[in-house]
Amino acid sequence: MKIWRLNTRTQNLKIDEVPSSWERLGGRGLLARILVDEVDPACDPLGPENKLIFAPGLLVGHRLSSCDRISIGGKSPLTGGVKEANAGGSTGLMITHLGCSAIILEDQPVEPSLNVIYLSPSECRFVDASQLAGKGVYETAASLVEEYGANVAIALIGPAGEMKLKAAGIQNLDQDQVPSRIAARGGLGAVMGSKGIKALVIDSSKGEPPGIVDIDKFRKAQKTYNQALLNHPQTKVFADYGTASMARMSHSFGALPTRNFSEGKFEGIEEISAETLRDQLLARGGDSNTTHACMAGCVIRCSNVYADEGGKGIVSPLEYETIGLMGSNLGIADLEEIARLNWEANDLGLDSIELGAALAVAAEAGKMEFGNFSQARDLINEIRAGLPDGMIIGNGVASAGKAYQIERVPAVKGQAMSAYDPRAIKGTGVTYATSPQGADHTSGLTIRAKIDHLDPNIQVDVSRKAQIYAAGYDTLGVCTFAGFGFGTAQDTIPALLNARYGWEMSGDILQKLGRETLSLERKFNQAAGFGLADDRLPEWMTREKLPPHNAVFDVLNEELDKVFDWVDEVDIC
Amino acid sequence: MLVEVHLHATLRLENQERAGHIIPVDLPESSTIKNLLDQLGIDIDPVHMLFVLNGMTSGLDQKLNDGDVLNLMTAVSGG
Repeated sequence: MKIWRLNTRTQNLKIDEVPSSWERLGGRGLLARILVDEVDPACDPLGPENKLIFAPGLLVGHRLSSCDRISIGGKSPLTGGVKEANAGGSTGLMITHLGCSAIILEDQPVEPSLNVIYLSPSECRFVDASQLAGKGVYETAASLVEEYGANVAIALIGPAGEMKLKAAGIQNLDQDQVPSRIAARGGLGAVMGSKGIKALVIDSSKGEPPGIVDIDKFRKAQKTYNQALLNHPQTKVFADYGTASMARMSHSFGALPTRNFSEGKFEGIEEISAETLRDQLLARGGDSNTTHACMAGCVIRCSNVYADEGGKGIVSPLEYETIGLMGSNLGIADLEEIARLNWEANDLGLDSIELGAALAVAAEAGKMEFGNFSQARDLINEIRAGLPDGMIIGNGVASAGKAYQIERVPAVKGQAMSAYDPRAIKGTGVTYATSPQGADHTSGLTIRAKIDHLDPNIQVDVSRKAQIYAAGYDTLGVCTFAGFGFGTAQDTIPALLNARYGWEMSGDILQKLGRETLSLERKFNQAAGFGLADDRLPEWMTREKLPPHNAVFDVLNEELDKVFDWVDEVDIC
Repeated sequence: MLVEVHLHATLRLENQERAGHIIPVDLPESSTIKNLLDQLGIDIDPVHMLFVLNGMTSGLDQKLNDGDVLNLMTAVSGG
């Protein structure tokens, strides 16, 4: 495997060997390693010194169920720190079939320009894409699929990325060529836009899957893992109901963000529940699909296709985080309206979490009424039109809070919280506060833990463990939902890695990778100027009581500072 | 006593003969969550379930009271 460096100023490709200290990392861990080794932590995230890195996880490349995720990273324009956002779809798989451990976009054009980069095992071509300027993600993807064929993988940005908005993500094709698998968080779409790249087109039709040192052992471990995954009850829930099933769960704990994180229960919960979602999709038929895979070979199939009453598809997928942030958090109790807002976010190439949070702050400032779908859509259209309120909202929730002078901003390190109010699920609050990524739904959720989520004294250990596992899985390229299969067949992780690479890893490799990744990320953030004061929830959450439990976030600061008290002990070369 | 039971996701499907997924359940005094599961015929391994009683994590042996709201779900996470 090699490292492909694409210079976006000179438009040259340089292929390097993988340095030895990078060889045992992939995905999120490799991103952190590259950032520490090569990117000035003080650099302008939208300047030529920043790099945009595409790194498939260590297990990517073999169509193992739920194990082909792509991690995309760089210095975040939203947080100013380390950023990894990952997505399903085909980008990760196809990059490994090029023979790449990572693709690194470097530098930036001197004059503004817009290009598509076409990559195949034997070719790297920059193609002028000025005709795609300002075009939405869906139209852009359709045009590129028509030009390059249905077998390519594509990572692309929408108008939001071109405008360098800090809530812009990078979309990826799913296995049906639908461009809605977004590496959403932290403004990485703006980094891609700053390098003048509209899309990365990866054509691996003449490539090959990465080699496997011991194919028999690999297949044996794969079989055990698949069986464990299929047997797990969560797999059945997610196949039938998807991540939307979290809505009633969060609501039952009083943790469902409602009207800008002012309440934990929403009177419209039944209308936005997974049960209603499923009933609607089964009744509507046509394009509707309750059980859809975003990656080839996935046995969980948590994705869906949401269609209107005539059966015409609106958006795929409709996920819990969007239902929370663009539904209850905006006071909107209608799945079809949420799906239409989701489509707008996708087409602009925006993170629906950051956008939903920013819209709710705008609503609190009187820019729209809570519950008013058309006013929400009008504000999103102001982003598309480049109008001032659009720029404020498109730069994220912290930007909206500052511009509209609203104190109730649900963000850490400048990044919006996901759909779990941390006053009701305090372990997740510890994760939001201390994760090097900022408040993030992929960094270590704790809602599933069988603990008293309101007790401030028991959350640090739960969060630490969840963060280590999440970082480990993100380094493997493994979907967090596959963790339930690996959780009951833990030996399959070292077995798969050892068979794939010829290593001799022991049983605790997942935790080791997670700790190493977090240590590297903390190192980058510290060099970028982050300190203990950045590892806190916003102060209003320690004062303002959240109904129905009337809970505040009361985990002590000195407890928060213990989450990473092991970091210095980890050997990072 | 009456307990309001909220059945989540697949539990609803497995109890299709009951109307809706929010159902009142009449139980003898001093019944526990386990007694309620037995009465409803839910036989999923409790290890994989969450019991949320009046908004708080609860356990199989928890005694129920008239007017309690109990959410029953397969433990999932993510999204």
